[in-house]
Amino acid sequence: MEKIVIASASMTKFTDHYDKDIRHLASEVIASTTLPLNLSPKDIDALVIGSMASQLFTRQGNLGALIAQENYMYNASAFTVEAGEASGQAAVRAAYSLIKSGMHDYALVVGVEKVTDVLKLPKLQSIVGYVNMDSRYEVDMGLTLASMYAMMAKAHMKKFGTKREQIASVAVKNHFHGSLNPLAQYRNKLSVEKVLSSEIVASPLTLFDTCAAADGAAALLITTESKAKELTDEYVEIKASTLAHSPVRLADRENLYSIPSIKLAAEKAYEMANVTPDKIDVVEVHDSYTITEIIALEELGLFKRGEAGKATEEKQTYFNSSIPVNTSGGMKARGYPFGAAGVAQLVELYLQLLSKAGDRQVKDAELGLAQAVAGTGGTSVVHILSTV
Amino acid sequence: MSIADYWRLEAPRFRLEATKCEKCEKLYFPPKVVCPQCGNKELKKVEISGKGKLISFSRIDKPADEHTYVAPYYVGIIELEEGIRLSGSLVDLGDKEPEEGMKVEIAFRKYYPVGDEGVIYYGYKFRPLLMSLED
Amino acid sequence: MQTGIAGYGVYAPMNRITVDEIAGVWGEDGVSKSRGLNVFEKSVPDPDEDTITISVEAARIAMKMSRLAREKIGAVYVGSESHPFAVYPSAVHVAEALGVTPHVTAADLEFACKAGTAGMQMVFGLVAGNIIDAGIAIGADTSQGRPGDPLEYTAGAGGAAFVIGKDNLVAELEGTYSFTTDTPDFWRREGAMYPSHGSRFTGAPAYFRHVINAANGLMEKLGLTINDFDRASFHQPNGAFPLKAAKILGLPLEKIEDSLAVKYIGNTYSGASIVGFARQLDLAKPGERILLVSYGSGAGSDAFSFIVTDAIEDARKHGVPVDKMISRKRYINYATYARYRGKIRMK
Repeated sequence: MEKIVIASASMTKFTDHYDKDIRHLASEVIASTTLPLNLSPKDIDALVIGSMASQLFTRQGNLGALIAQENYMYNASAFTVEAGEASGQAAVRAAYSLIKSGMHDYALVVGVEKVTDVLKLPKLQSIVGYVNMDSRYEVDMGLTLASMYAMMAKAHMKKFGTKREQIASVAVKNHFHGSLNPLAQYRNKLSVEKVLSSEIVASPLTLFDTCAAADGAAALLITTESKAKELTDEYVEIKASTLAHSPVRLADRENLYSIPSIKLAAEKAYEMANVTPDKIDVVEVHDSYTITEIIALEELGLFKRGEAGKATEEKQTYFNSSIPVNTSGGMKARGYPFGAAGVAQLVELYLQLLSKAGDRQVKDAELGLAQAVAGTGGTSVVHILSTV
Repeated sequence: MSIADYWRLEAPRFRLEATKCEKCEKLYFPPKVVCPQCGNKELKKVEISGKGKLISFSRIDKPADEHTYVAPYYVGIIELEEGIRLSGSLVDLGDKEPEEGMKVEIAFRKYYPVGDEGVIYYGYKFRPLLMSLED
Repeated sequence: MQTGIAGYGVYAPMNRITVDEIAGVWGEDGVSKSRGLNVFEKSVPDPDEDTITISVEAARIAMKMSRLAREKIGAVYVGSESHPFAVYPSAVHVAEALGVTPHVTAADLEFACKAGTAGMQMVFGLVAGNIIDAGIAIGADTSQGRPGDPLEYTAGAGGAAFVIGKDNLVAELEGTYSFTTDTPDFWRREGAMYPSHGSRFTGAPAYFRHVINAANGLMEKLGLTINDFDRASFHQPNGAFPLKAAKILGLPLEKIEDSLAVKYIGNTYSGASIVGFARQLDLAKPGERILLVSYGSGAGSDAFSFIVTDAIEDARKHGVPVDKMISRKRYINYATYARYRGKIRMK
């Protein structure tokens, strides 16, 4: 069977792009993804936009048509995929399906989010809550996504003896990786003390356990291997693309220290790719909160339950260690423009697998895994990429 | 949220009206219109106690827009006597921190007012036992 | 068949601010203020509490005590001068929260501090006239005093609810009588945040004239004398007025002292006389006779005579004592009070 590949990938810097609209961000990555292949946007027959809440952030819907218009892509089948915070990777999965089905030749995935038009944290908290949580039975009564992950962190600490410092060390590691990534929002290093002493958002999580607002876009060109070969010799294979769910309401879950949808999506992905977790060389996981990364690493089977915190503290997840995690800096340091961030996770794997990741290059990376989650686990998406 | 939406939610949020599938004996809160286990569409409306215990909690210092007017405040996950788990804000803690396992009951409170001229959304929150003398 | 009270409930928010704390802000002597008003502290609602939430809480306790099926409830009246909506009844919120809709009549009432007892009279009438089996009357307020105004020392938050019917009675109604005139001692125009008042004019021609005349009128109507009453609760705008009224009526002070919740939770306006009455019900022995006289500026007083039944001792086990509401508390300073009560200009 023909391999489905990523033939090109690019992203903008994730930061406050006050001078750019959502269409400008998208157009930039469309150009920087297609031009190196001598493709014109007009050659693209499918455009899949991953965006979480453009209607709420910038009062703009139907991004498929808008971005197609902006780039004269009137022949493309263009539409938006929304799956909360997992929108970016869900869009990748949709584009993958379009190629896999044989209906399209070139599918361009554009993850894009214009967040900083919303200037105030409380408004941002509100939008993130209403999009990703049960708005009627969680958000309306005052719960925030941060408070949910705060309770999950407490449960993890209680169940496994995970230390608060170990959770904070996720931010320290991701900021270190960010310092090596020129496109990262934050390139400063952090200390555990700094994380712990920053303002409380939802106890015990602090401001530095969370991500800041950022704008940005990221794009991937997905096609078949034979089509890719006509354009370039640099491409990576999509070995697996899976999506699964667990209850949106955290209260409906059996325990607070796990995210069942990640495990479900991961198991399907390992099966689809016919690999085992120990074969994975480089990982991009969802780190909207520091604890999210710890739980994700455990659900993905990369660490035993209760051991990811300690492993992070022991620097096992640095780019030059046994299991490199979020070498891009993750959502924490690379930046978190929701829909764009999920696509950027695959941009990072693309760079790593093609040995184009510069100072943060993982040695001999052949197999990469990316995972994204919406809210506390309503939706999880997993992709596995490999060199060819 | 629209007025009609608020109105639809009054029964569950004002008085914890749940639905029960009498075929499966399964209780649902939030209420459902179809039992996902057996497809039964004739679910019975029942009210649940509103008494339970606190499973976990967090203090929110940075709330969403709608709730800044009560910040800082605690939220938690509560397990009701009927076994149902739900999330809610915690009120009337005085100056004490909540504790896991603490017994709580529903309180009737404002969620938030819609601007200066819109309706006010009301519904359940949770507080340490006050009305339930038997405990 | 006798009509009366089948259940009662009181709710007061748990925040307290002391008279001393308020006095300190305005450079006044808190100790002498407290002594003069006979009020030490007052209750302050949380930002997410209002007359509707207080009414629901009080009514839930009253319903629980009454052990009446909700289908029996045919009326819900909420008396307040601080209804959260000018148009959109507090009463429908309460009825929906209690689950007594839709076969019920409901309305919001306003008569300064006596709207609660006005509602009780209406429900008594509906029950006595066999139009409904039972109904709920509530008096509740989250009243505001203008910063620096003498009212600020006493304007509290709280309320009381009564399930009135013919079954499971804890107190039987002997009779009620009202005394009403147009006396402009205290008012609030539509849209105004704080009420205005006539200072000393709120005393003799207003509070005392109406309370005394209502009490005397009731006694005359029922052929009773003041000595026939074992306990009393009068409207309590502060802790001093009801004591003075008792003195004028010749009622020994110890018969009214127990009603003075105002000392600890302030003047709960539409709730004030009936919160005091509920506390008397908490303490009364079967067979005792209780005099209740409300007062609402504008002005009028509703007087009631009740006889406590044997059932009260068992019924109390299903309610919540008023003292529990008074004793659960958290002290706040004036800054927090100002924030909670919207006294800080935000826009």
